[in-house]
Amino acid sequence: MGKLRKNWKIWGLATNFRFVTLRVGVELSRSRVWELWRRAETGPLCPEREFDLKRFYPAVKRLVKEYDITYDPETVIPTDNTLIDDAFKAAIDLLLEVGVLCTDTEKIIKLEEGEIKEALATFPKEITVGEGKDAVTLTHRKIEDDKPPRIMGGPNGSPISEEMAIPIYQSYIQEPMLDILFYGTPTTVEGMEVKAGSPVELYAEIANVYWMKEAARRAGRPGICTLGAAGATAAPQILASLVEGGYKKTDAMQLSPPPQLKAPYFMLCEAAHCIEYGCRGVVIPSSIIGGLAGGPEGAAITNIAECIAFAILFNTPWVHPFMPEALHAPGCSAYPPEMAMELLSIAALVKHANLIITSGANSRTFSGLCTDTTFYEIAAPAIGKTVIGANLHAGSARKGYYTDYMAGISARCTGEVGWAAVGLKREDANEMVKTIMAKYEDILPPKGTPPVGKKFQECYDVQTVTPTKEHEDLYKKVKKELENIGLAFKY
Amino acid sequence: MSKEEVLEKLRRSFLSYDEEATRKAAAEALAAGVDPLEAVSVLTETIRELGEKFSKMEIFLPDLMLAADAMRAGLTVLKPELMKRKAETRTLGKILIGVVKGDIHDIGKTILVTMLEAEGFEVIDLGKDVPIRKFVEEAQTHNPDIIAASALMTTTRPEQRGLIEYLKHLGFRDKYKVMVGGGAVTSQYAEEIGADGYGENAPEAVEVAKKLISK
Repeated sequence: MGKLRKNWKIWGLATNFRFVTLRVGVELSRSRVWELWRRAETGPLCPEREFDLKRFYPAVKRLVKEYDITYDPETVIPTDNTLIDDAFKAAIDLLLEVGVLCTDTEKIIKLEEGEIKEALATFPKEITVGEGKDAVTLTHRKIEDDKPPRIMGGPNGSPISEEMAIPIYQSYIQEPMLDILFYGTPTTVEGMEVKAGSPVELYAEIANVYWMKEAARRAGRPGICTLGAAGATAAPQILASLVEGGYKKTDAMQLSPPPQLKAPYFMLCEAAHCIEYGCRGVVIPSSIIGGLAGGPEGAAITNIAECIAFAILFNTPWVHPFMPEALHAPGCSAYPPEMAMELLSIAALVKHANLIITSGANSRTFSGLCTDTTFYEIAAPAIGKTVIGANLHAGSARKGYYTDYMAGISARCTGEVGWAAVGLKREDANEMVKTIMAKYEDILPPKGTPPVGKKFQECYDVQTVTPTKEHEDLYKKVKKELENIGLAFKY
Repeated sequence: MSKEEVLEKLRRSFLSYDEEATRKAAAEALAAGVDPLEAVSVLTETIRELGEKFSKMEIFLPDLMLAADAMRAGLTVLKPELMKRKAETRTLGKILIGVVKGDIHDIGKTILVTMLEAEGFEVIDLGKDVPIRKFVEEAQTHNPDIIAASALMTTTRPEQRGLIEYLKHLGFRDKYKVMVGGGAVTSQYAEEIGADGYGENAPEAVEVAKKLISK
């Protein structure tokens, strides 16, 4: 009863001079969701190219100008509250003006202002994932929040070999700071190459969940929340939830709509699976800098709009701002424009929406494992994102392109740096982040060449699932350097 | 208006990405007696400059897409005149491109298409979610120098291997160069499946395409 009472509040909205009572702390009802999805059949027709070039891009360009949204490379963590507010307003204007295109019907799903306000006001500020002693509560954090971030980590959808899958997953789960495990993509299962749309893809998703659960058992955390894959269709997720030992209702699923502001039917099917099965969905939109949304500023307001739009359409309060750069940085959180604009997007969302945010401290590093630059690439965004109000995500190395380039020590670095950054003011954190960025700027593309480093089995003892001495010592050295620039580790 | 002024108007219309204005300016150039080949050169040189600006992230993908549309509009006016005069526009080569079956992630492919066009390639864009058979059928129709297949997902990249195997089976493998790319593909994988070329990103892929054509 206490919990129920906590989730119900009186929310005063001065509508037509009378107060209405809204339920707070709950998602939309099924009938409301279906009402929204029905618009994919009944909304105004707009061919995709017309949507991209005539409707979406001109609106983005105009709103960036109107609200004077600017990317200043000197300020990585946004300190200008007016800029944060304006980025949010521009995003709402964009969403109201453009809507979301269902790419199967080429019809526009329009969202009304009242619907957006209601969802943002009533979505729960905390959710629980995982089960038993391994259950964790993921919460809405604020700018400069004194509450430590939760840590999600894993291969981040990057390729893993079936031989290394369990030790790699275990390397993440056994890190005490890890709260949620993020999936990898097996390249083979029982020697068969995994191919989208084939029965092997279905089998691979089932095998993958078994591997994640087995790794969790071996690490002594059988109830940890495992975040499942985004596939080419909803079928692998559905089947891997139905099988004995598969995804539980306490697990989560990735929901990644294609850029920009587009909802294909298969994505709505994946969201339908989450809603009807009862597990959590996490919205991970890719708002590409230099892509359809234009430059960094356009991508930032698009990302805010997408997080809001898909939180509502997929009926989940958990969003994950993510902004790859079109030519050189496919989701590398340490790349300066990507980091700055993800931070702006997060700032606008935590300040103005009840959403629960995770975001990459290292979605993917440029450097390979067992290099000092890979730890610097993790530390800079981990500080920025902790201070701005996100929970953190630790992913893979070498841009996520190469098989088995990921390890749990990245989650350790993410967690320890994130916890150490709690309590920092934005201005101080900004200086610290810039000092760290100077340590890896020479390896950044297009001019630099990131170090290849090592893959998991070259810098971990696979049997004991522990980092090699060289790897561990390297992390300790970087940690010491971070202490020297003022980061106070908790231990 | 002098010839220079007419060509400058064509360039400015094109740079405003306005299809109708570009079409009109191209027609005005022909009416003023400008050699259609010169008018085409204005468009190709300008789009090449835009391509360079995009590589430096000074302009963005939609600008290039709009420019490509405006260029096509201008060429619809200029090309018939070129054909009448039996003059030939030079292209670097013909590329057939698409995102493989099961994959709807086409931003990288679209970036490459616009950059290839800006460099002077003739590009046939099959779009996304393209089955192997469609690649092959379209190749037989258009006879490209290069077939380029993109895959973002680890689970869709096997289609690239499938395409090469299919071409081999039909005896067409030597007829076309095959390039692969996309977020899930590495040079190692490209080599393993027997592709002729691989680009990690769009600017690199353009250079690889140029090298393959010159071989």
